[in-house]
Amino acid sequence: MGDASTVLTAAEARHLLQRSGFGATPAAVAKIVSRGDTRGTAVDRILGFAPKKFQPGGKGKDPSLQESHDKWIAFMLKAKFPLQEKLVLFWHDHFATSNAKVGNVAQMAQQNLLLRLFCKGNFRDFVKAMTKNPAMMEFLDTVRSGRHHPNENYARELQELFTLGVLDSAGNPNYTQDDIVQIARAFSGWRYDDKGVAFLDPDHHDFMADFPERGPKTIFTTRGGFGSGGRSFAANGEGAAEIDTVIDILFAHTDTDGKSTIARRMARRLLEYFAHADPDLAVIDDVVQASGFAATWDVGALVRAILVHDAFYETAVTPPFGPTTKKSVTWPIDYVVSTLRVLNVKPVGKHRDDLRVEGGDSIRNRLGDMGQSLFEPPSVFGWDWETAWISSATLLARFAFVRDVVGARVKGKSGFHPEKLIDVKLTNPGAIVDAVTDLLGVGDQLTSGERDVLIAYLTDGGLQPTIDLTNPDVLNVKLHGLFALVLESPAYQLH
Amino acid sequence: MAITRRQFLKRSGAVSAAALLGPSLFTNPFVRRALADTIGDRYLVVLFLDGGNDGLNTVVPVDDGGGSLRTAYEAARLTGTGGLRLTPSDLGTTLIGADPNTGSQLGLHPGCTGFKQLYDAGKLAVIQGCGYPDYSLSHDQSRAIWMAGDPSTPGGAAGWVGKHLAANYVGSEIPAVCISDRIAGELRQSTTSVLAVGRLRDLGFPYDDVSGDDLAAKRAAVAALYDTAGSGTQSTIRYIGESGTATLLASESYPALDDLYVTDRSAFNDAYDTVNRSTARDLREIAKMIYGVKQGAANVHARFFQLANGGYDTHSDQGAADPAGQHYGLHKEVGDSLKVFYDDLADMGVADKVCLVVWSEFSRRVPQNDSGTDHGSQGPMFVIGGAVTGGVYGNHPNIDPAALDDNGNTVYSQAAGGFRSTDFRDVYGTILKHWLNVPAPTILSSVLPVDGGDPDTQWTAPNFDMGFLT
Amino acid sequence: MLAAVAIIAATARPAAAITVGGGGGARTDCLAVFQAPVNTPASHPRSIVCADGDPTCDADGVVNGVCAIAIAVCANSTFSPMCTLAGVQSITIAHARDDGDPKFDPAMQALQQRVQSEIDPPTSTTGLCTSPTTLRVPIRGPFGNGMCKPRKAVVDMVTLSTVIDGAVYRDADRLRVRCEPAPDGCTAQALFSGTFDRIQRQIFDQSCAVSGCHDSQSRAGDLLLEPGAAYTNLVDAAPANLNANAAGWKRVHVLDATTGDPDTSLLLQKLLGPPAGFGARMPFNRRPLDRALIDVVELWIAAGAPQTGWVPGTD
Repeated sequence: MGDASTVLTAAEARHLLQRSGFGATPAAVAKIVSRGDTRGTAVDRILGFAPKKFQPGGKGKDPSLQESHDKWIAFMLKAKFPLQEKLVLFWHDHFATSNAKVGNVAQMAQQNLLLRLFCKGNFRDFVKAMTKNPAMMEFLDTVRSGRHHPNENYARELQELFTLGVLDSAGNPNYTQDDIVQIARAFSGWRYDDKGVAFLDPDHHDFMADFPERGPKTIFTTRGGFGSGGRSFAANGEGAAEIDTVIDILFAHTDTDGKSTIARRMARRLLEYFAHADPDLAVIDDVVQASGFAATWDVGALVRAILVHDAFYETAVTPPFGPTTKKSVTWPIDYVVSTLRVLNVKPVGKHRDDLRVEGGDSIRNRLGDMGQSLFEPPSVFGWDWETAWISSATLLARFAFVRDVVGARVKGKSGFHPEKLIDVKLTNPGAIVDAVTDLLGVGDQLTSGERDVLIAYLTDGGLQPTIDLTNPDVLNVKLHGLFALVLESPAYQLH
Repeated sequence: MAITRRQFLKRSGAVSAAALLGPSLFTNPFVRRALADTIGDRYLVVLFLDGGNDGLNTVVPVDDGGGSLRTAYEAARLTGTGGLRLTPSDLGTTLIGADPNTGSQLGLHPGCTGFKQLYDAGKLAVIQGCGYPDYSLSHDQSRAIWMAGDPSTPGGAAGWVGKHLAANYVGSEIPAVCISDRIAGELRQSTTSVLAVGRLRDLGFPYDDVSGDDLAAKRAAVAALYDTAGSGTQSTIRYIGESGTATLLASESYPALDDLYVTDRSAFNDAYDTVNRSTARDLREIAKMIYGVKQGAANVHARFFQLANGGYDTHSDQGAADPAGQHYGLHKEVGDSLKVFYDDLADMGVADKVCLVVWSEFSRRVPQNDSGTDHGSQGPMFVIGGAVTGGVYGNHPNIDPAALDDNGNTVYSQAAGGFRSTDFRDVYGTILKHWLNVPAPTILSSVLPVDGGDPDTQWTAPNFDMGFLT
Repeated sequence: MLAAVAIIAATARPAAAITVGGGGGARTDCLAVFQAPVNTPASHPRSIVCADGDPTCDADGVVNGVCAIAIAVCANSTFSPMCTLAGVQSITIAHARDDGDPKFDPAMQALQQRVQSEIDPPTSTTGLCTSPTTLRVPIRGPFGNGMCKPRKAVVDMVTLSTVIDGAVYRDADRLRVRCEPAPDGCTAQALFSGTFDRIQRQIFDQSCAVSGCHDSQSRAGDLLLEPGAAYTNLVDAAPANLNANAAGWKRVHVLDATTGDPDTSLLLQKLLGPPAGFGARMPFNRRPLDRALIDVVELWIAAGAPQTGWVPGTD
């Protein structure tokens, strides 16, 4: 059992860097180990960034989806604090908004900036800001909601997906259809101006309505721990403040166990993201407790509590793997960005061309084939995680990307140069395999059988007892091939 | 698992180990037969007409019969430059049955000669006026609704065929293939593998192929790594292992179907080339897989296919009966391609085993614009197959100017009476029930949930016995 | 309907199609090329400058305010001895997807569709061409001074090669088209069949029912201004704007068959710049319409907004 004061081993340091960022180079791991960092000090350093005001596509411009996409990828590739982008990706999935419906890349880029500014900020303020975000208002029809027919889309997803969840930990519903209807009334009439600033158009808002039968709005009369009276807010007069009142009420919602519903749910989601599917309730309560999230709504504190918790280090276990071992499938974006960063391959994208590995297909195409088109999540539910990432089509897309990367045999930073990544003076096949698998962060994740497969490949089934990597033919075939195999291996699809 | 080294073929753009694998792989235990007890030896093909096909110029009223469809048609579709009106003589050689409601004689677009031949053979069901309540005029939204078979949720990432696949197949199987770079919405789900491939001969495991000499060693290593993972006890690792093994074997087995088909069925291979359009070539890829399954090719178990043809968004320059027109060309392409495909299947002896459904995300505006048509609402679907009972099903939408909504589009109605619309979910449901043997309660609970609300304007009373399949 | 059309049509001959590389280096130029009736500059034609009705370039051969330019695409062309590459992986026409792209153009979509269906990349077959599709470029006008102006259009195409000797080549092609009014070809009577037809084609089709606005894909404000929908969406229809609605306005306020009230017709007021609370001026974020065109709308409404025929002063 460890905690924030536990000194990180090399394996743990690597795991921390991989999961909180994009890949872990041996140099970065060595730095943590040589400093003798504890979990706490390492995590504080990783989290110690001030969110950058980066907006893919720029302000005031009318970027294409391809441009914005590529700018975001380029930003991830050189991010000094990759946890920031890891969190932005989490929020992009959490507040899933697709340009397929929004149809306005500038608004998508503006939302992306919002995700970044709040990525480790106050979650309650984040939800309030997202509620008034133009892309979200388009995506979930807030702009099409008026007092005569309040549109329930946002009111539903706000509760089901963005905050409470459908059911609490005990399996009881967190809200009712009537709560959706009442909250939809409160949100009616919100529009945004041509600068993207939301405002309440009183003509379309409920409180101006001369429908006396509507009366004051009352929500959560049966759920949320508010007692049989529920929580009411004024029938007339609150106007623009009503929307924040509703969100404040949501954040006071408690579940069957009397715990904060939102705190538990967000802790669960972040644990699923950073660690593995199906975290224990005890772990969830641990990190909520340790972070004070239920009172402060400080996402950064919650993330810190997760990254120093034992449960986070669970998926780093080494073979043998059994039925209770926890493993998690890497997201396509993580797969692509980590690989390029660790292998130091810089994609090219001159002029109007799409960003691509030199000689390969466009990265956006490759990611789309892998099942993750940024700015275009498949639905408001975001992407399906874990084994849903894996299908014949998506595996072939991952392997095609690997071919692009190891096939980039060009000079300069846009090419793949394995001779600069490992010591070519190594001749022992096992040592070469270890160097490559360590570099790619799976050295301790392979079974001895899998390691033997790689050695057999390198030695042509034992025919070559030593390997001369200074021979260009051997380097071009076998070393490139070995990198490809490791990138294609089941272990590299996991973390 | 020991795999002996074999020679590998190099192909344009990709490398595959096609056709040269030994018997040990042909009996690989990871690859199971498709679930024969679910659908027997049947196949389902879904063909999407992308862009919104103009239904009014696809199934056209030739006369008024006992109503006024032709009169209304002529008011909406004009003559002269840019005019889209199809005259009775244009339609003379592609007549089909009468509209069940008005008795109006119907004709297919003159480009639909292939469809007409299938109709005359009794193998084409024309289902008029298919739509859904509160229609969307957005391509994306309407397409998503049709693909999911569910207008109610903004999400619903799984497709209507995908939901069926997820319930019946597991991770190590590849029951479906999409003739495309990406998995189409109809097939989307997250339980079993779907292959997306444009041309089978180009499918291959994407090895880095700098020399070609090393491929056998690479192949052996990949196979061994995934084999090891697939035999593990940790469920995620095992799933990846099984999927990877199935993918590797498929990447080697499917390309071989190309050679097999071209060798064995050269006359039909040429017939698709004669049509010389992408729909014909896409259907030929499906024919190759069906032929492969029939010949017992190893590791090939696909039963569900999706393909699409684009270009139906004919806002301008749509064309009427002139063979050089856009819409004519689209109908000619798809009809001729389907005719060759059907004949090919019949010659293989499997026409009775294949059901093909054609859909589009919406029809087009009843009144034409300058030279084309804008987005509309209900349109016709087609169902084709040896086991299909051909004929005209469903009512022609009411195109009387007074009956259109403010957007100039036909109105969806489930109210009893002459112009009752067909909901597209009744067509899907009939296929699920009578072709895939899914019980109606299962269809309703897991694939096609009914709407709530007003039974005259919403889909509350499904009919999965439309009659074109029994 | 189109009064002046028949005169030149009698002598129309098919537009001549010339193969043109259109841009990029000489070595890659042949991966994909346009076939179009290029005529400018005369020495080595690369662009099209076409007078409405000129049968050598306008495929409809009639003075109707629109140049119909027949354009085809060919892959792996053999037109230039400088270029011997063969192997096309993909051909992408810009603005061919109706996905909210503000520059979406159905003609580009039609061209892309023909490429997919008839060339069906990837292919290395030489000289493989699509059938021609028609790019319709309308002239601009007539404006208040009775003048018309030319309109320009551009077709952009990007072609990627298959891997040829280890490299992928990129060929970017651009075809410029300029449609000029015919001499004496700038009268409303000649170009349109009636007042509403003029409003539809000169105002709605060009400034309102465009991608991202009041077209079927976007349907901004639940208002469709496409042909077949615009009239019923407007005339005697209640506005969505609550203030206008409460004030008893209509989108087009018709009093009887020959009288309407422009002052309480939101369509006209939106073009002029509406009162506070009645929404933004239209076209949104664009320059206001030519005053003479707004006058056409006003006269049309005052005359009871007839669906056919000419309202005096609007021709």
